[in-house]
Amino acid sequence: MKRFLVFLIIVFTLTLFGEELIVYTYDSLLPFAREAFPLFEKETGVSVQVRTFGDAGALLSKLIAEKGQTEVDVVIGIDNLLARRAFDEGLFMSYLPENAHLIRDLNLIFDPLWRLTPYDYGAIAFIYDKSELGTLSLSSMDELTQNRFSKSIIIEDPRTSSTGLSFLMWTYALYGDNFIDFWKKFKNSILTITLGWDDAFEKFEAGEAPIMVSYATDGAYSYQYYGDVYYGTLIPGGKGYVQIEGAGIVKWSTKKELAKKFIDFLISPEAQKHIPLNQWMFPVVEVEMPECFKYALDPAEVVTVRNVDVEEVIRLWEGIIY
Amino acid sequence: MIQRSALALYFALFFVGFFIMFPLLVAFGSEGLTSSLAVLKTPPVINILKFTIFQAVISTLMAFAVGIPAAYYYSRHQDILSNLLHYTTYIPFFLPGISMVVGFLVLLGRYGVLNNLLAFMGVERQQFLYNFGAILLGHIFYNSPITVRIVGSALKNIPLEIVEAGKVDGGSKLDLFFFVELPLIIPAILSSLILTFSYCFTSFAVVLMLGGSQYATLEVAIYMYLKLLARPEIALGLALVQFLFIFSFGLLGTIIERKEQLPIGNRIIYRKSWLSMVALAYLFFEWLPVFSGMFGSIYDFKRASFLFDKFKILLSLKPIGVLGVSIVSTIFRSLALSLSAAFLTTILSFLIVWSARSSRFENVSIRLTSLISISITPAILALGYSIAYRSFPPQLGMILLYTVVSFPVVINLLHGETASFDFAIIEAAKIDGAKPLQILWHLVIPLLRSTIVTVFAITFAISMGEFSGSLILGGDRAPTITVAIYRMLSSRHVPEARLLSSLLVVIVLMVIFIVNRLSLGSFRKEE
Repeated sequence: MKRFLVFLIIVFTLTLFGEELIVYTYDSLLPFAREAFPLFEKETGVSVQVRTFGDAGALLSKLIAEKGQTEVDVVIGIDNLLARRAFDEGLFMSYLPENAHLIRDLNLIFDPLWRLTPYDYGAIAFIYDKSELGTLSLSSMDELTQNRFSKSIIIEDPRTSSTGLSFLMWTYALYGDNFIDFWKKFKNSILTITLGWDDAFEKFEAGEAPIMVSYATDGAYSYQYYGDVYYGTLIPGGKGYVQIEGAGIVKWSTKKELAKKFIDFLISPEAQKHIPLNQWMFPVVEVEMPECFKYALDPAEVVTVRNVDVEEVIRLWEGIIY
Repeated sequence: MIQRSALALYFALFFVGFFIMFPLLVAFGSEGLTSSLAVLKTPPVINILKFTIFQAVISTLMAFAVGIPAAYYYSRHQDILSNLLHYTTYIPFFLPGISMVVGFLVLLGRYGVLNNLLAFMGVERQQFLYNFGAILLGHIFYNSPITVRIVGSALKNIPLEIVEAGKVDGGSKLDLFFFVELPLIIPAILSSLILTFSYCFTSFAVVLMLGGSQYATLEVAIYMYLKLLARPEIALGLALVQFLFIFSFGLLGTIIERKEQLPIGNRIIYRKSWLSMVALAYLFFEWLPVFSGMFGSIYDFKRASFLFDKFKILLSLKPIGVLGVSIVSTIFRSLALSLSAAFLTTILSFLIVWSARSSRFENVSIRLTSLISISITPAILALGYSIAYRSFPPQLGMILLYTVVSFPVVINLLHGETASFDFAIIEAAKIDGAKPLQILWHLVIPLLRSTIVTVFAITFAISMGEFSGSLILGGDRAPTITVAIYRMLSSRHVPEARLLSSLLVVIVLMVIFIVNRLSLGSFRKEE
C-alpha cells in the first residue's frame, strides 16, 4: 500500500510539473520552431512537442481524419485559403490573444472569430532576369498578356503547389469572376506550368524563361545568402496578393490554458523576430527587421480573398487549361 | 497442416491487410467513394482520366520497345556492357526528380547541350521540352530499365540445351527467338508491361516536370485533394478508382498468362553481336541525364562557378539550421532504414512468391499485392500509418511504407524468376531425404541468389529515394536524405539541395555495387 501511495505521488508530481504541449505543423516551419519555441519553454517550464506532417494540406488532412481522437493542442500553418476547410470541419476554438492589439494591420486578421490567429504573411511576386529584360515596370497584370511576353513565364500548378494556388488566387482577387478572361489571354505567355516552386526555379535559373512566379522576399533571400540581388522582383501595379498563415487551438485540447499562453507567445515580439530569416515571410507585429529585408518587395496595395470556394476556382481554371 | 496454396493467400492477405487496408480504413473510413465519384464526373477530371489512359498506353509500348533490345543483350552477354546495363536497371528507383530535371535541362533545355550545338551550326534554338514528346522521353527513360531487368532475367533462364535443340531442327536465330524463346518469356513480358503501365498511369512528377500541367494525370487530382484542399476521403476514393483501372489492365494480362517450367541448364552466352551498338546507345540514353544532372549540381551555370564549398556544409558533423541535425547523421539514418526495409521486403516477397508457386492462388496473390501496392499514393498511406499505427516509432512506419512502395517491382521480379524454376530438382532432393530448411539453404537460395540480391538492392534503392511518405512519418523525428533535400529547397538553399541529390545518387550506386560484389563476386556468376 505504501509503495502504491509513493507511486501515486510520483505520477501526480510528474503530471503537475512535467507539462507538455503538443503542436502540429508543416515540415518547413521546423527551423523557426527550433529557434523560437525554447524561449517559451524557458519562460513557462512547459515542454513543446512539435510534430510535422509534410505540408499544410497533409497536416489538415490528418487533423480532419483524427478529429476527436487527436492528441494535439495547437496547430500552426493553416493559411487563409485552407482556413475555410478547417472552419467547415469545426476544428478550432475561438481565442482572442491578450496581445492581439500588437498586430500591425487589421487586414491580416482573416478570421473575425479568432479561431485562427495570424502569425506571418508574405506576398506572391514575379521574379525576372534583368540581364534579359532590363528593368521591368508594369502598371497591371494585364500587361503580361502582351505578345512580347509570349512563352516567357513559368508558373506553378495550383493543384500541386501552394505558390501556384496563391498565384491563381491573386488573379481571382484582382479580376473576380472575370479571372477566366484574364487566363484565356495569359495562357499564351506561359512557357510551362510546373510541379512546384523548386522545379520552376530550376528551369528559370537554366534560362528556360525570363520570368517566374515566386515570392516578394526573394531579393532579401538572395542578398542574405549570395551577397547580391540577382533578379528583379515585380508586383504589377503594386497590387500584391498576400498569403496569411494562422495558428489555432484545437477544440479537443485538454490543455487549453497552456495553448492560449502559447498563442500569445507566438505573436509576441520575441517570437516574431525569428520569422523573417526562417520563414522568409513578414512578421505580424512590429519588430526590428534584418538588413536584407530592405530588398524584399512590399506591395503598395494588398489584395486578398476571403471565404472563397477554392475547389470551384481550380475547376474553372482547369476548364481553360485543358 | 496448412496447404501451401492457402498459405500463399494468407501471406498475401496479411500483407495487403496489415500494411495497406487496415491503416487506411482506420484513418479515413470509406465515405470518400461517393464524393470522389461526383468529382470524377466533372469535365476536367474526365479529360484528365482519358489522357492518363492514353499516355500510359503509348508510354508503356514505347518503353517496352526501347527496352527489349537492351534486355536481349543483357541476357546473352557477359561483358562490360551487360554489367553496365545491370546497374542501369536501378536508375528509375532512386534518381530524385530534381536531378532528373537538371539532367534534362542540361541536355535538352533552351541553353542545353543540344541547343548550343544547333546554335553553333547556325540553326535556331528549338523547344524540346514541355510537350507530349518530352513526357514520352521521360517515361521511356524511367521505365525501359524495368523491361531490361525483368525480361532480361527471364531470357537468362532459358537453358542453352533448349535453343541448341531448336538449332538442330534447322531453326534460324529469328525463328528461335519467335518460336522458342518468346513463348517462354511471356510471363516476364506481361509482368513488365503491367508494371510499366501502372507506373506510367500513376506517373506524376515526370509528367509535370517535363511536360507541364496540361498533361496532368489522375495522380495530380489525388495530390490536390490530399495536400492542398485537405479532402483525404476524396483522395482515397480517387486512389481506389485508379486502382480499378490498373487492376483491370493487370487482370487482362493474368487471364492470358501461361507458365512454362524450364529445366536447369547452361546459360546462353554470345561473344559478339550487332546489338552491342544498340546496347551502347541505350546506355548513353540512360546515363547522360544522370551524369548531366550530377554535373549540373556541382557547377552553377548561372554564376559560372563550381560549388565545392557547399560540400563542407554537407559533410560537416555539425547540425545544419534547416535540418536540426547533421547531414552525415541523416545519411546514416537513411542507410539504416533502407537496409532494414530491404531485409524485410526480401523475406516477405520471397515467402509470398515461394509459397504461391504452382498453386491455385498464384496469380491472384501476386497480382493483387502488386497492383494494390502500386495504386496507393505513399503520402495517403503515410497519413494512414500516422493515425492507425500512431504508437509505432516513426522509423518502423517508414520501413513498412518502403516495403509497400517497393513491393510491386520486387514481387514481379521474383515471380518472373520462379515462374521458370525447375521444381523437379526439389522433388529429387526430397526423395533423397533432404529437410525443407536444407532444401531452402542448399538448393533454392543458391539457385535464386542473384534474384534475391537484386530484390534486396532494388528495395534499398527505392527506399533511399522515397520522399512523400518519409516527410509525413519522419520529417520531425527521423529526417532522411530526401527530406533534407526538400527542406533545403523549401528554405531556398537550391545549390545545397542539388548537391545532396547527387550525393544520394552516388551513395545508392556505391551500396548497390558493394552488395553485388559481395554476393556475386566481381563478375556475376549466375550459372
